[in-house]
Amino acid sequence: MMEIEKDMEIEDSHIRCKQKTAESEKILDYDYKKCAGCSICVALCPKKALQEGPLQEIAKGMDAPPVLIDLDACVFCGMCVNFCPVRAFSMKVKERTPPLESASEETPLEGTA
Amino acid sequence: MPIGVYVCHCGLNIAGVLNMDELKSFSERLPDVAIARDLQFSCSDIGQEQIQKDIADFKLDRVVVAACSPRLHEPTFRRAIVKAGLNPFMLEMANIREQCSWVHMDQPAQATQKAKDLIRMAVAKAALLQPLDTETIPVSKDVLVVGGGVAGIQAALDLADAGLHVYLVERRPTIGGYMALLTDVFPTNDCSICVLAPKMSDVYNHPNISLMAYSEVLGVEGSVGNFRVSGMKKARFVDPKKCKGCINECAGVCPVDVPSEYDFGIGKRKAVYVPFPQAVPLVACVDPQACIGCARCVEACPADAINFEEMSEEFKLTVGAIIVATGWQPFDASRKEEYGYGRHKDVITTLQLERMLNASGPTKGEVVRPSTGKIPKSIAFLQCVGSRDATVGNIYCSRICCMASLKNSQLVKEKYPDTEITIHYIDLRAGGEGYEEFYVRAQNLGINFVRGRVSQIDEVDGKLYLNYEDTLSGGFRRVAYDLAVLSIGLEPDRNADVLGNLLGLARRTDRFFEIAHPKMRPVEAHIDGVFIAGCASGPKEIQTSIAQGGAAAAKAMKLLHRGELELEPTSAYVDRDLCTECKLCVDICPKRAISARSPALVDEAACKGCGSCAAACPVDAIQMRLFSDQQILAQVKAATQEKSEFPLIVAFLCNWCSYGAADLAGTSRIQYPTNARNIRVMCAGRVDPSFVLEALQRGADGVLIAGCRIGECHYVKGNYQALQRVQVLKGILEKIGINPGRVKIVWCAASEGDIFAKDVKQFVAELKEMGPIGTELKEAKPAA
Repeated sequence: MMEIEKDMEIEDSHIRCKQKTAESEKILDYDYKKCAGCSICVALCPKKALQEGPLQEIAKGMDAPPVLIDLDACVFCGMCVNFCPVRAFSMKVKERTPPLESASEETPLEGTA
Repeated sequence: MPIGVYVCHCGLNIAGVLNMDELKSFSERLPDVAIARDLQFSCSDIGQEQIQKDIADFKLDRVVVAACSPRLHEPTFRRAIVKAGLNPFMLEMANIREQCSWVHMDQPAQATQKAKDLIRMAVAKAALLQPLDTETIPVSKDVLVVGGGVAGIQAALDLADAGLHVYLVERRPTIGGYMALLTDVFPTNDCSICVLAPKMSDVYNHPNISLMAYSEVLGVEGSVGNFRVSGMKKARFVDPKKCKGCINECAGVCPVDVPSEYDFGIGKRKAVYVPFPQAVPLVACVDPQACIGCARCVEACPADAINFEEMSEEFKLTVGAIIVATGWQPFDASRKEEYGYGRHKDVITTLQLERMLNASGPTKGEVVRPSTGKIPKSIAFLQCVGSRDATVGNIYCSRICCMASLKNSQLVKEKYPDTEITIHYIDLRAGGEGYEEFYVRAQNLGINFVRGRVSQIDEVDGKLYLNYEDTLSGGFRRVAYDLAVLSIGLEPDRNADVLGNLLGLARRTDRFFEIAHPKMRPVEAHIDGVFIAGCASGPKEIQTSIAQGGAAAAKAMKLLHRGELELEPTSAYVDRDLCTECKLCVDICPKRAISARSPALVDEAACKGCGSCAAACPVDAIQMRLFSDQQILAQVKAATQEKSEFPLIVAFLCNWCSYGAADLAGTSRIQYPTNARNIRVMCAGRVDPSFVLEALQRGADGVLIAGCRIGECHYVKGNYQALQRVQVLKGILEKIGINPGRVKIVWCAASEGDIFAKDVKQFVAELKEMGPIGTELKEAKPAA
């Protein structure tokens, strides 16, 4: 079974979730200062890994992320990235071996098994 | 032209109603008749030999047999006269059994009169018969089998072993059907998948079988010998050449759980999955409805087999025959609301119990209460849920559920001897080899049987309470159980509707596909070159499904093994001198067999002989080799020669549906009035308005035209063309003062004998109201 490592770090207003496998590293970056709190991502997350934060308090001036991320539940599918209207979410994918370009092309890959 | 007339007794089937002496002496006096005889069984060897002897002795050059339907024995008698040296097409049959003696049993005198008219019509047509030569066409020796359940698997293997190439198309990602999901099977309680899996892998490895799993047929054109089939192979998003079937690598990392359709809702599967461990082909499949696109499986797959770029692919095949083995679907138990399936957790279905009992199922062989996960102390089986139940529209018995419950109750009892088991039944049906013994075995194991349909299940404090009347000991009861198993019935698979419509398959009132004859042709469809096996034509146990798969394969082999097929010379041809090149026929032809040359030209191999062009041609330049204008007009004249009853109806019945419906009314002994004189035509579209006018002019009180149901015409649109012509004709009749209601057009499928009988009855009543033909003209005069 493929091993999956997860990690989370916070820098300024950026919450960065990382997922590492033998093949790739995915970084899901949530910049909560950009977030408008619309909660579209909460509604559509297929793993229910996103929850609404204290929206009323944030509206009154509290410095907190409007969306809370459950790192254990997140599978880095990227749906929040694709649907966020203010681009508060972004995702970077680093392919380890083989690189992404050759994987997306139709040339057959060397089997790793 | 000496004609021989043979009036068949058919034992008492005909002679029990009709006066045979009268029919014989009547036949002798008809023009051109050299000899008339009555025969006990004309289809028997003795009967056929008599006909052959007479052909030699009396130098007969044409023969009329008044017996059963030509749809039954026309081939028999054609062969008989060929042996005596006649052309096979010098035969005409008068249908005095299905369309006379069997449907007018309580009116012998009028039925005999009708039979006389039918014989007179047949003799009149026979006088105009022409010898015709049959043509042979090359056929494809490939066969399409639709449905990869046990019936389809057996058909495919038998055909492939015999050397024919088979395309086995299965809608799901794996073959195996329901049998692959069952636990042990009756009456021997041997493991289902253990006996099926070797056949499944034989299919996969057979050089003569192209297995097309996860594919659907979306188009069928052409006809017997040369069906052109198109369809779609759905995207699996997994390369079958790379996938090793290891399954846990991809499914293990998939974060999506959905209810597994292979466990009927009690187990879960991932968005990337192999349906079950023995699946064939053993290739994973991504469910695009469930997948969230996280691509973990792409990374996890050691063979790099997963490809989200894959697209569905179209395929095209040419095959000589098609075997429909589309199977069944379970009755939706939530429709029986009183049993609370879907509301009460511990009410489950037979299929869910099968999966629990299955060692590779979601509970690994343990039977548990879904509400607690604990082993139930008492289990009730409820029989006939969705079967023998008019309230859900299923009057039929599903045939396997009694045995399935006997089997499951034994398996549970053997596993958990302390669990109390009761089977609530209406009648226990255990007909089959070893089945009654199996029932006795269940009794000996201590399983209880209570007769009476359960009226309701309610749930109080986590216990199920069954309310029922015990109809043997008498009295109403309310008894608590831990688990209730609904023995759900079998319904035809809705997914087969597309194929059924493409092929034009008829359905019985129970909605399963209808076979060509309820006893004699158990695996043939009404359409040439199409065969039906397994539960597509009604509920069946495994043994029968396998037998039918083999039978369908044998029929397809018989049809195709020579690589050529004889075609009936029923085609149209153009009289060059008469054609005015109006091109009406070109657009009318459903087979596009007529080209607009100078004059029009009929491609006789493509022509299927419906005759709609002949009916449409304004100058009668198109003629039919069989069912010619002259022959049909001769029948009309003969039918109206002696107006033997009022109202007298001349009826034109299309060969494929309405004539079949009239025959079915006969085999079902549905009684209706004797007034109709039936004329068989290939299609309702063949009925030239001049035939109708001729009939009315000669004194028929009404003309009935019966075709296939709208949308079901054997020639696609012949019945629409007939309808349009009748509507124009009605306008003309109205203008000249004839009641347009005297021409009636009706639709019935070959399965609708009762509807045909009802139509005749109603038309007779309408015509009685109108009075004899011409009444309206007399009435109109004094008013004017």
